[in-house]
Amino acid sequence: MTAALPRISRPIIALILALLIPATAGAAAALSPLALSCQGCHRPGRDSPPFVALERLSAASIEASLKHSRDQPDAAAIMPRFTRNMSDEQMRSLAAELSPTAAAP
Amino acid sequence: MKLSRRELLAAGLMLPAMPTRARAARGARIVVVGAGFGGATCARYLRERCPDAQITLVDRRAQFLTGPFSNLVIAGLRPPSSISRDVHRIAEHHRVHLIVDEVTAIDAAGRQVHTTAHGRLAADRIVMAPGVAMRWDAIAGLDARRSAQMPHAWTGDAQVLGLRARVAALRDGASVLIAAPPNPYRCPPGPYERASLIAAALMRDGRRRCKILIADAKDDFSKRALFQLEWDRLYPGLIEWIPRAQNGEVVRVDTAASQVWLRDAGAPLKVDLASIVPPQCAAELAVQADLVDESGWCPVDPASFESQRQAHIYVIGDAALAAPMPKSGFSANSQAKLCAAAIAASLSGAPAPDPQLLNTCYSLLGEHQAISVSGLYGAVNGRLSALSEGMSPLSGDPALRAREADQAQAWYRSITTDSFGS
Repeated sequence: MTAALPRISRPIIALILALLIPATAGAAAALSPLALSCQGCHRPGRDSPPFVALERLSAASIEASLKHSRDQPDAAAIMPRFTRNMSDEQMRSLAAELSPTAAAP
Repeated sequence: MKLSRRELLAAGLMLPAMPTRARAARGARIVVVGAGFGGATCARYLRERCPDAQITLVDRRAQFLTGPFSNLVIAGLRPPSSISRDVHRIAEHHRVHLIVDEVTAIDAAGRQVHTTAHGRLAADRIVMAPGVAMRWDAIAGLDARRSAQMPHAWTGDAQVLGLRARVAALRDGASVLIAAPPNPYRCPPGPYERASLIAAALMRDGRRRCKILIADAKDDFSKRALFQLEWDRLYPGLIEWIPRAQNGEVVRVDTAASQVWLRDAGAPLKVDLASIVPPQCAAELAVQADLVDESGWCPVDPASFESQRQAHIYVIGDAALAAPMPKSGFSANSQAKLCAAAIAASLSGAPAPDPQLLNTCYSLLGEHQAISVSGLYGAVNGRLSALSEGMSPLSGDPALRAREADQAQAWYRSITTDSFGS
């Protein structure tokens, strides 16, 4: 891979970078609309009891909570109303978005 | 491998000359009409997703009162200042340009927003969040001016304060009538929450001989079984609901004489206070812009909330035809986030966002009791559909109702901070 790079001229690489920058600027940190809607209650940056700030939790913890609300629903809780028909993959993806710890390698 | 400064500078200089769709987002002009839950939220997230776009928020009001929690204010259980929002502060927080002015027309084909004092605003995308209008032709004797005598208090203006003063002045033994409109309308549980909280205030102050009638233009309403169960428990005999099937629909009023006629009733009801919430439709601006269909509301693509009638114009919030989502502040907030993502994607050529939306409507039964209904929604085969829904259990005990009241308070803090910055 590294051996092939010198064959591409530097101006062309610069051009490719220029094309990519506008498309990604501001989008790198953008959450999906669904994840942003979670923040309607779960305010980022601070707990607003009983709603916890999700970015303080690990992705695994968020995913486990989502699955628990679906698989062992509490009739008195709000979350099962959202998760009843969510797939494991949807939950994993949502948890990964909402927890910054998931973005770490 | 490193690029020299000269090469990076050359890349930067190429930017202005590139007519790519990715480039389009940088200088795009986006006008958002309406600074309520939908418009303000959309402006905020457009700024985040399109940092170099020219985003202008337009509203004729410098201040407004939020619909959520307005019934607490009307009942005297919360100060008006707690639900007041300043449009300048919203725009400052969201880092968007603000114009406080009346929008007189939308030129959909020319993509221009016409204002009274600021001329014509050209736009690449227009987001319409104009809210609802009252249908003054629906109830004889009622119009915008006379409505002040029987306040709907449904649009965050002086009527909220007027109704609050009238409730505070009620004598013990007074009669109150709340007219609930036919579906669809802004805040479906609102009339019933209003009855609950006025009852709570009357009970708290010892005005236990008062009576609250809910005259309804329909035979069912949001969370009806829960409301009625809790009314019997909290306010026995104080609240009476008259459904359409029992001629509950208000057809005529005499605001000067404080009289209300129900359908097929020979004689009017004489009441001490009437709050008449008229039938509703999308705001007049949406009608003028030809965004409205025969339903009186604005059909939209549920994947983006772009109008189905006018390209590059988006309609969010109460004016949109977005059933089965209720017309609520939370729905508008969620739609705004999808709309902002869809606009950013359309400008940059990025993939369209996954169209999933949330809503919860909390309804307060008293200062420390609440119930709720929630749903997850998505676009399925071109239609907005409920993917899952649920509401508070009928079997809920007072402790659960109290927990939900705490949640409602926390939700209000979160959603208003998200939408308005405070």
